[in-house]
Amino acid sequence: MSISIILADDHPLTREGMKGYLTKESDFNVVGEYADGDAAWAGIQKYKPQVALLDIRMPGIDGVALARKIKESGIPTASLMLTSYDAQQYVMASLRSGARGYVLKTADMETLSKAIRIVARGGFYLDSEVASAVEEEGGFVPEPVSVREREVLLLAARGLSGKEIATQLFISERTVQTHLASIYDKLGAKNKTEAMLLSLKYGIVTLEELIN
Amino acid sequence: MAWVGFCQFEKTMDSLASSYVQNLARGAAARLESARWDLKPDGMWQPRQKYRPGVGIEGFIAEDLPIPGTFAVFDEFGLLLYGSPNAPMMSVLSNQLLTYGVPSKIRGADGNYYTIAFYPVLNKNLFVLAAVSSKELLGPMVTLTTFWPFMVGMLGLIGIFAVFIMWQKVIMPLKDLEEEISLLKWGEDIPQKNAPEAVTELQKLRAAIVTLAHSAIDKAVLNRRYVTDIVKVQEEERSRISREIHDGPLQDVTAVIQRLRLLATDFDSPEKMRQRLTEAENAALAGVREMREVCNNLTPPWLDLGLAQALTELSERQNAQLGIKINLDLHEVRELPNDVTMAFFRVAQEAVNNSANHANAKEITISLRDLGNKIVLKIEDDGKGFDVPENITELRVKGHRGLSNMQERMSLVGGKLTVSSSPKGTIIKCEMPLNT
Repeated sequence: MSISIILADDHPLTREGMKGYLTKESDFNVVGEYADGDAAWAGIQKYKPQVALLDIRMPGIDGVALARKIKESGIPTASLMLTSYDAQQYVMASLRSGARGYVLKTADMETLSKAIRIVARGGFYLDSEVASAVEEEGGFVPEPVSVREREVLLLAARGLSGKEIATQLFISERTVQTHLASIYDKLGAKNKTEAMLLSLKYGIVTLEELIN
Repeated sequence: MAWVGFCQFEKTMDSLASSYVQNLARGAAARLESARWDLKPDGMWQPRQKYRPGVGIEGFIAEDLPIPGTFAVFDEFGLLLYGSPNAPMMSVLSNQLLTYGVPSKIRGADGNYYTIAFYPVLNKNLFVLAAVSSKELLGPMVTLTTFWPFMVGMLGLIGIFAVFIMWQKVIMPLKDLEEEISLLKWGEDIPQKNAPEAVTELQKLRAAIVTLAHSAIDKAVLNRRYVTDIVKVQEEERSRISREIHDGPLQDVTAVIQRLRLLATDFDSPEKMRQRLTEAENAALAGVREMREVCNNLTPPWLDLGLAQALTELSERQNAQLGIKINLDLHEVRELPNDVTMAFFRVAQEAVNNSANHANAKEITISLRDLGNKIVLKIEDDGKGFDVPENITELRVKGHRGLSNMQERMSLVGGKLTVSSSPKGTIIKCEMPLNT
């Protein structure tokens, strides 16, 4: 069964290149390509594709807002962000607005195809370049995270401060910091956002847990 | 001083009155003494008719006494024999204990001070009492003397009052003002608006300082907004450059990478491979073009060619970009420092942009002249014009930076920018004085 895809990117050269990638895969079916957010939204409503490849910066509605629109409208299209921005905050913003994946435009063909297949199945995909602490290849399996550490991470992901987490879990702020440091260490993350992204990637937390 | 003067005066008056009254008493006594007296049957002395027929004691004394003073003659028992008009009062005086020949000062029943002297008439068992009040003796002088201390006191009081008023209306308000101003943070605080107790001049001074403080605050606020605005402009500029790079060269390089990857999958078809290579090349060329554009926008390299050439290049580019007709009337100018060339260039760039984007101009004329003592650049358009504000700097704060920027660019290099505008068009004139 083929996967229906729409492509939204305002830059003609990269859009063409992307389309070149997609046509290499026999089961990918590009049903529409658009140079701005508004046209893309119209296309999504019309075709209700399985996957929408969205550039973040576009004229009209930007990619993040478009992902939110898709989520709010209930259309079952999975948004996959396809962008030049590697800022982790962009990744988080995209995920919070309902995107199922985040891939850089410089990603190679296999990565893009893999990402598309995963999000089309309802999975979650994150480009290794935006959470690059560990090599994706080589089957890195992080050390198991304790239940308490997971709790701390989820509360931190919701934007709670160390103090607030401490109050909520009836532990000291110092313990909270210790837990966080331990999580960073286990995941190979350099900061909170990266820890969140990596824990998503390794399936330690689900996207729903993280963004709700 | 006044007091010492007053005391001295009093003393002099006293001794004058004393010797006067002494003389008076002694003289009267001598007169009575020299008279021939007969003892009348009723026991009273009677001067002999021979001297002053029909005249009693009073004849001796009162008759030719046009001088101030009062007399009384008593017998040895203290009985009043004769008294001048004030005599009843004298009887009171006679009761006083008096020393013979020595004058003394006594307060009479009428409240006046009297200097009295007491003399016996030899061989007659009679006594003469003479009295004179200082008022009688010296008249208005005395009034003056009594008025003197009062006057001095009044003057003193007036003086103290004046000092008090001065303290309250001048010194204290001045002190308050001084204190307030020394603690005042210029550009932040405003002193008290009024000090009702102060004199008008001080109130005016205060009002002037309040006005100054207000304008200092206005200036500070303007300055702060100005700095904020400059920072904002810087950030906007950075984000514009970042966007330009993101949307241009970054995408092009990405496209090149994509083509190369696609090329790797097309090894089976030389034709497809050639196509990918051409695409990659084109994408790379597009990237170069866009990066060049970014560089040109940052600092036009053709500024090195001189102002006239730079303006020609600019007008060609803007003509293509904005679709506006630009007439050039450029004369060669001498070689200018880079910053001056840049300033002229930026002003021209901004002016043309404004004419095209805001004034709906159809045609623009740029003229450049080297007048020897100055360089003059003029940009005229046929647009709809605008109201030129008095202070162009204020425009910046209101978010209209164009004019303000142009003016600053010129003033930074020591030039002058004048703007005149009417509904028929706008003229922007830049003058840069130069030493010949």
